[in-house]
Amino acid sequence: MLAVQVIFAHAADKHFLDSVQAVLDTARFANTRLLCLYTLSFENGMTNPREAIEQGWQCMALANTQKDTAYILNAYNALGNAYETLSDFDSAVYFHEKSYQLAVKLKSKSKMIATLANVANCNKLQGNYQAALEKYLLVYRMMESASVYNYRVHYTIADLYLRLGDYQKAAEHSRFGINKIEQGNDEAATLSLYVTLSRALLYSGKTDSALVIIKNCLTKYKKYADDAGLATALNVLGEIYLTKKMYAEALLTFSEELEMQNKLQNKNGTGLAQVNRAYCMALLHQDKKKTEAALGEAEQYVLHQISNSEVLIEIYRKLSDTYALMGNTDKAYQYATRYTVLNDSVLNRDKFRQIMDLQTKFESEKVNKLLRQQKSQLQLQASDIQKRKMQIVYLSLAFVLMLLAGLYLYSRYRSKQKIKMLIALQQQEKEKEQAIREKETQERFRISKDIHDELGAGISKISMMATYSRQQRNEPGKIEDTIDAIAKTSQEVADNMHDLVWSLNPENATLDNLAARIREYAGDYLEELPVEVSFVFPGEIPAISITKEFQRNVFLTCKEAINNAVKHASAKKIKIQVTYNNQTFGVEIADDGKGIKEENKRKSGNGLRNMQHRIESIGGTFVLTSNNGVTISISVPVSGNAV
Amino acid sequence: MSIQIAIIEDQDEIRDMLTILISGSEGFECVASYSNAEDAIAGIPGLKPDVVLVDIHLPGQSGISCITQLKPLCPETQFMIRTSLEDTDTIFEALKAGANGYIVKSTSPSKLLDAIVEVYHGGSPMSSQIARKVVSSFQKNEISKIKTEVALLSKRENEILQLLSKGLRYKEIADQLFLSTETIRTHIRNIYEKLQVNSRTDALNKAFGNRNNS
Repeated sequence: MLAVQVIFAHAADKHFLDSVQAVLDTARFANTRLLCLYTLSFENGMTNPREAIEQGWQCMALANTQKDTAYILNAYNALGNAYETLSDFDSAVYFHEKSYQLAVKLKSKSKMIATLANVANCNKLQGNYQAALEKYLLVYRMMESASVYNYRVHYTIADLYLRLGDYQKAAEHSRFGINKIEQGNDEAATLSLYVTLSRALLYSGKTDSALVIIKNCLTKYKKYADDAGLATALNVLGEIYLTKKMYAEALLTFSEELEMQNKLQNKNGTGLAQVNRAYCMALLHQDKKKTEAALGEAEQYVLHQISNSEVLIEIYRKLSDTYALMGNTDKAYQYATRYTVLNDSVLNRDKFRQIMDLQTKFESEKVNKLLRQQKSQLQLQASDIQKRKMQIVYLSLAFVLMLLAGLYLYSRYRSKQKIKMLIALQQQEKEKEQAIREKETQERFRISKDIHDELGAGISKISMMATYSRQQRNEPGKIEDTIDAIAKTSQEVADNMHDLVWSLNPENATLDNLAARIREYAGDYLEELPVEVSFVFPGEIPAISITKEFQRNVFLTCKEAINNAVKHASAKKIKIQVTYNNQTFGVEIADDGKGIKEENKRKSGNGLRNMQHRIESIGGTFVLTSNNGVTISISVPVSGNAV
Repeated sequence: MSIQIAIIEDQDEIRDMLTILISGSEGFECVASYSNAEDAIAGIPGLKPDVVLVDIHLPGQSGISCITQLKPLCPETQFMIRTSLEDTDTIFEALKAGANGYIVKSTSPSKLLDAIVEVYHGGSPMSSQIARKVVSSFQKNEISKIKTEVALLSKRENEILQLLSKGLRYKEIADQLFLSTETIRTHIRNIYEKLQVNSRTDALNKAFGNRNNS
């Protein structure tokens, strides 16, 4: 394929065709062969139609075996072109129509336009202007709907109207075309249309307008040095002059045209120009010999060179008229007869064609129908798409709305939750505050109770003793005892206050501090007494935070135990052992005193009960054994009293 | 020769009682008594007593401020604080300011005299709670002022403080470390001095923008 594409890049010359032939000879794939055969057939179509037909058929055969509809179409097209070149228009029409039918089947608009234009062109060349016109009109409509454009189609249509003698329509379509083309900016096409318009105006009797337009066209053609266009325009101008009976100007114009047609080697044009020139000369009554010479020349040329019946009809008519002017009635009659015969045959042919045209019309109707169907289908699709677009828009709108609503609801839900949470938090805070306040209140009660218990009794005792000492003023010895008691009690009160303050300091509320405090107290207290004290303390006691109750109750219990040992049991040795195992804090205070005798039990019962109560209130156990002295063991779980 | 004592106490009755107690005890002499810090700062440098009993809460300047100013003027004088409660923070501040001892106001008169004698002989009392404060103070120094010229505790001093904080008495510590009680006292005095040095360094650092610590 690549090779073929590379080849396509070259100009379509002999070398190119040879290259394609070479590719074809070595090509292995059917696709490549198809492309090559079609290319050869198409390229040869204009120059070597016989070969083109051969290759077209080969292409057709291969495309058939490959069931490749597109290439069958292409093959028909190439064949049609080749027959066109051979002027076998009937065959050309046949093949072009075949390719058109395939294009319809393939629903390829561009191919439909191209193939139908081919058919129409062949119809025109056949002289079947009616069929050609209808097909071209169809082509034009297809072009419109497909938005592909070839401005030539307007000229062709206008020209066909002209040939059919519908000058009104010809003029109309020319104008329409000119308007259309102005948007497309195709000067050549515009000029052709102007020429056609001029001719249409001429035939419909508006010679002055026709003259203005054609002169304008001539100027333009001269400017562009377009000889073919110039020749056509001159022909129109000559005819205008003839109509206006300005024979001298007509003669000049036709002479000019003749020159141009000769140059262009346009046989029909040349023949017609020669006849026209002779006709003008006759009309001007010029030198008879000169006129006859021109006439003879024209006659000879026409007889040998012209085969187009339409041109011949025109020429025969003009020749007959000229001979009549010249007074040669014999010749005039002869050409008049020829004219009539040929004209009749053309008319007959036209009648035959009318039947054909009906068929064409039927077919074009079908195409129209198809086009309309397609169009409505397209519209349907478009409206469908529109509908879907709207659906999408509505759906997305609905989605966005739902999303917004969701977001709104969610945020409301969130804010509600937040408020709820805030309220709950406030509630919690309030409860906490409440708890703290309650605790504070409890603490205050406890402290005031402690102060009352520890200090109050001592102070009131001191106060009472001081009052009592007044009455003892005259009893020496007794008063000194009372003063000693006051000093002792006040010292006790001071010591108690010291303990109280210590227990209230939160810094001291750790297990190791408690142990240190017990040891320190015992050391201080027993230092000045004739008591031997020994400590058994573990090396490390963890600094676990403990509750005030734990700290205070344990310390006061130990203190009381030590005091009891000294004051009541008259101990000489005290052993204080502190343990900490399995989260349990234990203190054992053992003395060698006299123990608790039965008679003392009642007396000391209150203090002992108090100690037991203290320890049990913090979840501990209090054990007192009295056997060769007293041993008090307390053990308190730390876990329940840790902070 | 008796121990020369000065008293700074704002409550007149207590001041008089203390004066009577001290003057009436053998071996003690009360040379001056002041009701405020300002008078004491004016009078004490001229007297240079052996021991000054200082109440912390005074009208005008506090007892701590008073010690801070007097200590450099009379380095030989021992300052002993009397405080109404066992307020360890206040005691600790006083010790840093230059006090060598402290006594709770509720202490019995006999114990007060014992404490004066102890201080006069170079002893410095230290409770388990104060020991703990000292330890944490030096730990803070080690962490945050490692670059500055702070006095750090020796290993032995640390050992003594640890035992003190567990509630052991000087004698017990001495037994445990195979030292004399006198050595323990010396160590504790040194600890107090280091505390004061660090306190002064702190003050200097504060006054001069703490250049070394930046």
